[in-house]
Amino acid sequence: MAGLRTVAEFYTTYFNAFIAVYLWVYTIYLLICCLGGAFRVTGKRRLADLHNVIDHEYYYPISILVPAYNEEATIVQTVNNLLKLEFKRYEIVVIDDGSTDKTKQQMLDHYPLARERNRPIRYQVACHPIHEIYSCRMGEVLITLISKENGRSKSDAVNAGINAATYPYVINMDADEILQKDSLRLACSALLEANNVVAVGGNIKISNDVRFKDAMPVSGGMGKNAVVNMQILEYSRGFLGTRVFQDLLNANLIISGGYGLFKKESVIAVGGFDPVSKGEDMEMTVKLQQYYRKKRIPFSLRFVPESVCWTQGPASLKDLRAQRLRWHCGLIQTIYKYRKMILNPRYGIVGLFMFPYMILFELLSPVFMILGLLSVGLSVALGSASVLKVLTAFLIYVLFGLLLTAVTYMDNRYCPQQKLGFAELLKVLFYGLLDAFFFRPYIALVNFTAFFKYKKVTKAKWVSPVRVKISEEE
Amino acid sequence: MSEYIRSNIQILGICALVLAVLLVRIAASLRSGRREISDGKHEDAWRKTFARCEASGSFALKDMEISRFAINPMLRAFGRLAEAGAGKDCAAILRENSRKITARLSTQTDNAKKGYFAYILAISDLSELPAEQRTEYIGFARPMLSNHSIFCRENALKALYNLGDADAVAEAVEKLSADAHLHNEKLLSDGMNSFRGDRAKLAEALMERFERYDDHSQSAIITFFTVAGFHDWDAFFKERLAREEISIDQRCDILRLLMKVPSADTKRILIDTLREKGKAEDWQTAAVAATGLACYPDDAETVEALRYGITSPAWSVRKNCAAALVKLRAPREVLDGILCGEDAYARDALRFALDQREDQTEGEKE
Repeated sequence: MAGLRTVAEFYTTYFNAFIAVYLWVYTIYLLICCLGGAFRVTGKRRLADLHNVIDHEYYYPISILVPAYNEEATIVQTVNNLLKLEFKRYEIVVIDDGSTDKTKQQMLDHYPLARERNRPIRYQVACHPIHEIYSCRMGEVLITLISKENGRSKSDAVNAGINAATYPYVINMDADEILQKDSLRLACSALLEANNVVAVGGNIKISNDVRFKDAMPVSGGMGKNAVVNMQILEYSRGFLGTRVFQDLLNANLIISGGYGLFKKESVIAVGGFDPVSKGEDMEMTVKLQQYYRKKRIPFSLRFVPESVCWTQGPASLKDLRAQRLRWHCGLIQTIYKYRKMILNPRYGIVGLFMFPYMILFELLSPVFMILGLLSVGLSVALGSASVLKVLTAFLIYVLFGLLLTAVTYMDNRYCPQQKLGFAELLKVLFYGLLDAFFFRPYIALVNFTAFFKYKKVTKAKWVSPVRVKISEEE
Repeated sequence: MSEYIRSNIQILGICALVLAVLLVRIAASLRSGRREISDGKHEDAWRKTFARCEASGSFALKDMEISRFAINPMLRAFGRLAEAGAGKDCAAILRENSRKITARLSTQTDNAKKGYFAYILAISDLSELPAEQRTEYIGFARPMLSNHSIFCRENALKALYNLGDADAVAEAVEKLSADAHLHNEKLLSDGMNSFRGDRAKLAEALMERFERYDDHSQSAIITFFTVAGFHDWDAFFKERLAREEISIDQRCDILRLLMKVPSADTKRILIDTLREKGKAEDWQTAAVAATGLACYPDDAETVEALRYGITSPAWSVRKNCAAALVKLRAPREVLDGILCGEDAYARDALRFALDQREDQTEGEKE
């Protein structure tokens, strides 16, 4: 018994110290990111206020790729909203990945699509066979519907879209989203600012409680669903905090699969999206980082927070769990695939800093969180740590998180028409607390299980969560 | 508890400081919504100034009013009025106070404010600006071209386009080249097209310095000529195509410029390019040449060159050759030869081009 106690004391002493350092480093990093991000966004707004922006009529021709698997509920609404974009030259390519519902029929019923029998497809990246191609013009915009064999992944569908796309830039998005009317124009300003931009990531916001008119939000913010509200806070923190900061270092490792603009030539050069990957967005971004850094070709991956895409967040814990399991398995997959980049000076800041950060603070964070809680509990039980001390440390940590969340949320101006008053701030603080005590531990637990369900998740086929129509005004 | 606080006072102090910074940020975010109200107040101040000037018949500003150009909200309010209906009054103020305003703003270290004033110069009606004042504003905009901020540089360029001085623009492009600022090619060429002065003079000024520009700026100038329809230097550009050091992008731009005015000379260049580069690794110029050949009558030589090009391993060359053959209404036996030929890729390209023409014809009938 005494031996067991000695082992427990030894474990708690060292592990508590490790966890304390771990949490402090993580908090300081987040603090730097959020403050850096907030100041950058404020600075950008001031520049825009003083017309120090590139606002040019010329736009890059873009193919918007909409991969769809069983998306009959939202596909027409998504395409209708895409037709409202304020942009000179773009086409919409819907890729029906062998849906078992009426996705294809919905498209054929709502648009005057005619079958193209002789359109040659240039297979530049691997994908499952394309069976049928339909197309029509809606005003200036060409709509193409591709019907292909199910490839079991979104990546395969996106690759088919890349092969059929006629323009030099492609957008990868989901079939349940609304691209804000001005999003393409704002994303393209990043291409005009520098000549070596190969991809641009946009800001993703949760659309569940937002009303839209002509592809622009008119009202909304936090609604009644706590699961959705906590995702709103999480997205604000993630996009405005860390991604803006990583953008400063050209070290972004994720251009979200929900909304990313890519130079087609670059995507083809790296072999397209990986159909096996469960985190195809991160895999593509890391692949681009690896390709350009290895070949020492100047490049930049930009993040433009002003360019917004609205997506539906999972509204139930069940859907959320499935999504997060997939994301964490995708993270494990990508880090393992690109393990040679870890601490490799050839890949600069990405190899030396971003990869270790992703491993320590993203990949292994659920493990440390659970072991940390066990260790602290054991310390209190053994009497080597006082309850007061533990509670104070925990409260300071929670308070930090809460304020960072509030800062990023307020800075993000969730919806342009939303009133950012005291009441909204109280709501943010309430859900922030709920987030710290319930949401984050829950997500950590789900991510922890990803290590055990890895095989099952990575072999599963592409499933679309339950979709509902987005609320729109006439 | 108090013992615990005393022993951890440093950590708690840091925490308190950080929390204070975060709270200030939240407060700043909440306050930003009130800006519009204060903008209206500053616009009123400028309107009063306009009224005073109109009443006195002189738009010369007092020192206090000049200093407004260095204050953010006042400068913004002036810009808004220039954009809106008060353009005449704003132009009069810019005309009467050029020296004082540029002197005041030149001492500014804030690039955003300088950039914004350049934007005001770009949107104002400066058609009646006397030469002396014009020179002063050019002198203000020129140093901004070395600025590290692309926004500042672009606004300075826009101001120069609006000021309408051809030499100033040509010098500005030279400065960008010398400083190795890769200003977006499209921004440059479209900017040149928006030039408010004599565009023919601008073209001359640019050509005088052409060899001093970097490849990127040269391409922008060629695109400007293509859009504006300047063909006085076509012979120069034809000779340039023979130089090995010219980049592929610039070669494509030159071909696009030459294509605009069909001639026997140009046709020869296009055919030679298609034959020489159609099956080469650097096929890009061949793809442009194929498009250009669609503007010439379907004589045997053109059709033969396109028939050669349609068997190119480069997808874009095949596609453009097929489109050109269909557009030229090439003889049936030539098309049948390709459709029944052994090259499956050529067949696919031509079949799709024929389908597209059919769709177009049906569309026109409807």
